[in-house]
Amino acid sequence: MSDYTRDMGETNGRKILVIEDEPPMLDAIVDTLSQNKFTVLTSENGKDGLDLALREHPDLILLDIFMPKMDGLSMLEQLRNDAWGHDVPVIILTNLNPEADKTIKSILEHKPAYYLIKSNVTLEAIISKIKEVLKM
Amino acid sequence: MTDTPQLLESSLQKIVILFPEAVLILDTNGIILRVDKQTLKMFGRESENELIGKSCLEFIAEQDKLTVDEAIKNIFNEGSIVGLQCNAVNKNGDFLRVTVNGSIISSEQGTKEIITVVHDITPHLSELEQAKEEKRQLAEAQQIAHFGSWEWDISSDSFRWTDEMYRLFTLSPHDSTVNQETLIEHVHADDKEKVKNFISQSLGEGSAKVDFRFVVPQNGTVHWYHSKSKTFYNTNHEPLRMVGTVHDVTHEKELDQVKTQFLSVASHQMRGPLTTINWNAEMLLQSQADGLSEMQKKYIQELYNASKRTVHLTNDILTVSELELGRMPFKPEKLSLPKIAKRVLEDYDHKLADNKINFKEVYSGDLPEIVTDLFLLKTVFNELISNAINYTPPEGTITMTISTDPTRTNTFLIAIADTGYGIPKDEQEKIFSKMYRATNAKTKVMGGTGLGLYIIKLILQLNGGEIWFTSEENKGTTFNISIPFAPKTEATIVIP
Repeated sequence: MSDYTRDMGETNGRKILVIEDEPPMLDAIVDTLSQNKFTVLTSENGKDGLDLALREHPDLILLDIFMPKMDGLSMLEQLRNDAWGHDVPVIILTNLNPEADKTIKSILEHKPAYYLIKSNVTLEAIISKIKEVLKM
Repeated sequence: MTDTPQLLESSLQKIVILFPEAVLILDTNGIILRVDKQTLKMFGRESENELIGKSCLEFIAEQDKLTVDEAIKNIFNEGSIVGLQCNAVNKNGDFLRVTVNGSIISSEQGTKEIITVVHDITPHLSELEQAKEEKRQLAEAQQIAHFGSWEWDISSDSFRWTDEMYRLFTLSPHDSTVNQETLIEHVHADDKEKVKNFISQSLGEGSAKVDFRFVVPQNGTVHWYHSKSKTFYNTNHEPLRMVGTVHDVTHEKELDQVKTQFLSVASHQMRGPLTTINWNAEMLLQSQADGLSEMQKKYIQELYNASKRTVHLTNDILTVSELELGRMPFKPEKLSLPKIAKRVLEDYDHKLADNKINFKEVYSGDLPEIVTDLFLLKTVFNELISNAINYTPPEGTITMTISTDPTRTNTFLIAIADTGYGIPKDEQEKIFSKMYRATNAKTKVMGGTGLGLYIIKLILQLNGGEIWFTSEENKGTTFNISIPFAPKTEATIVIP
C-alpha cells in the first residue's frame, strides 16, 4: 500500500489526486491522466487520501465513494472543514446513483462536488470535465 | 293441456288445470274420492284407480301421518287446513316435500267433502339449499383468498358486501350499513382521490381498476388492495348497478418491493465490472494503443459496444427501480422544452448521420416554459428519440413536433412520428408493459430493453401527463405525449 506519484516527465503543471480502491479502474484513470500530462497522486482509501490531500494540496480530487477505512463521503465532509480543502474542486466518480442513498443527497447539498457515474462516462469525458473545472 | 280433465268435475277444473298443484277430494275420513291429473303426475301414478278409495295417509311419510290425520279431523273445527307442511311419498318411495291447503265443500249430493290442494316444494327446497351451499363455498373461498366482492345498486344507492369485504375493511357485517362513503372513508388519505376516480371511470367507461391502501384503524397497519369493477347499464346507457372485487395484494406488493430493491443493488454492482470493460476498451481503441491490427480493433469495438448496451440496460433497470420505489427525486424547475429536446438530440447526431435518417423538428412559436424535473424530462426525450431512431430503417424520416395541446388547457403536446417498422396490431395494447418488446422489434433491433416506454409512462404519472400512439406495421408509429405546463401536486408514483 503506497501513495505514489506518477510522473511522465513533461507535465502540464496540474496535480490531480485520485482516490480509488479498485486497481483496474485506478490504473485506467491514472494512465489516462498521465497521457494528458497531469501529475497524478493516488490513494486507495479515504483516510490516506485525506492526509495526502491536506499535505500535497492537489488542484483537483477525483473521489470514489465505496472504499475501505474511510468512504468518500466522510472524506469529503472532513476535507470541506479544512480551510484549503473547503474550496478545492472535487469530482465524485462513483457507480452509485445519487438518489440511491439519502446520505449522498444530504452531503452534496452542503458539501458541493461534481458528480459523475463511472459506467456512464468515457475516460475522455472525465478529462474534459477536469479541464472544464480547472478552466484549462 | 287441451284435453278435458275427466277426473275432477267441478267448476274449478278450468282454473286448477293451469296450476302445478295437485287437487284431491277426500271424504271426511280422509279417503280419496277423486283426483286430478296433476295428482297422478306428482305421485307418479298412471291411473286414478291406484289412489281412489284409499286413505290419503297411505301416501304420507310415516313421521307425518299423525299430523295429517289430526289436521283432517280438526278441519271441522278449524274450517280449513292452511299451509300444512309434510312429507308425501310417491310411487318410487321418494319423499316429496309438500304444502297442503284444504277446505270443506259440499258435493252435488249435499254431503261434506274435503278439497285439498297439494303443492310440491321439493325442487324449490333443493334450489334453496344449493344456493345456501354455494354461498357458503363462496364465502370460504373469499376468506382464504382475502378476496371480497361488492355490488352497488345505483338507483336505490344500496350496497351489498360479502362477508370478506367487511373483514377486509375490519368491519362487522352485523353492525354496519355500508355506502359509498364507507368505502372512501377507510381508504388511505393519499389514495382517496384515486378511488373516487376509479368509481367515476367505471360509471363512464363500464369498467375500471385501482390499487389503493387501507389503513387498519385499530393499529395503523397499511394493507394494499386491488379493486376491479364492472358497470351494467339500461338501454338508455344509464348505469343500473356496479359490481366489483377487492383483493388483498399486500404480500405481492411487499415481494415486488424486495425484488425491486434487489434489482437496484444488483444493477449498482454490475456497473463496476462494466466500467472496467468500457474504460479498458476505450484505451485500447485510442490511437495511442499501437500494435493492434484492424481486425483486433474491430473485435475490441464489438466488446465495447456490447458493454455499452449492457450499461444502457443496467441504467434502465435502475431508473425503473428508483421510480417504482418512489425515491426518484423530482425537483421541478423552469425549462424550455425545445431547448432540452435539442440538447438530447445532439447525442444522436452520429447515429442519425450513420443511418441517413432525416430528423425534422417543428416547434410552435411562443411556447411557455415547462415546470418539471430536468433529469426526468431528458429521460423522456431520450427514450422517445432513441426508440424512433432504433425502429426506423435507414433513410427514413422522423418528425418531432412540440406545441400546446388544442384539446386541453395548460398542456403541451409532444409528437414523434417515424416511418419505421410500426407496432403489430395485436401487440399494441401490451407495448407499455414492463420488458415487453414487439415481435418485429426483437428481430430487427438488437439491444432494446423493453423498458423505455414503461419508464416514460412512470415518469408521466409523476408529471400528470399521458402517452398514446397510432401505428401501422411497416408504415410507422406516432407517439403522442401530453404533459401539463406544471405538475398539479406533489405526486407519488403507484405501480399498476
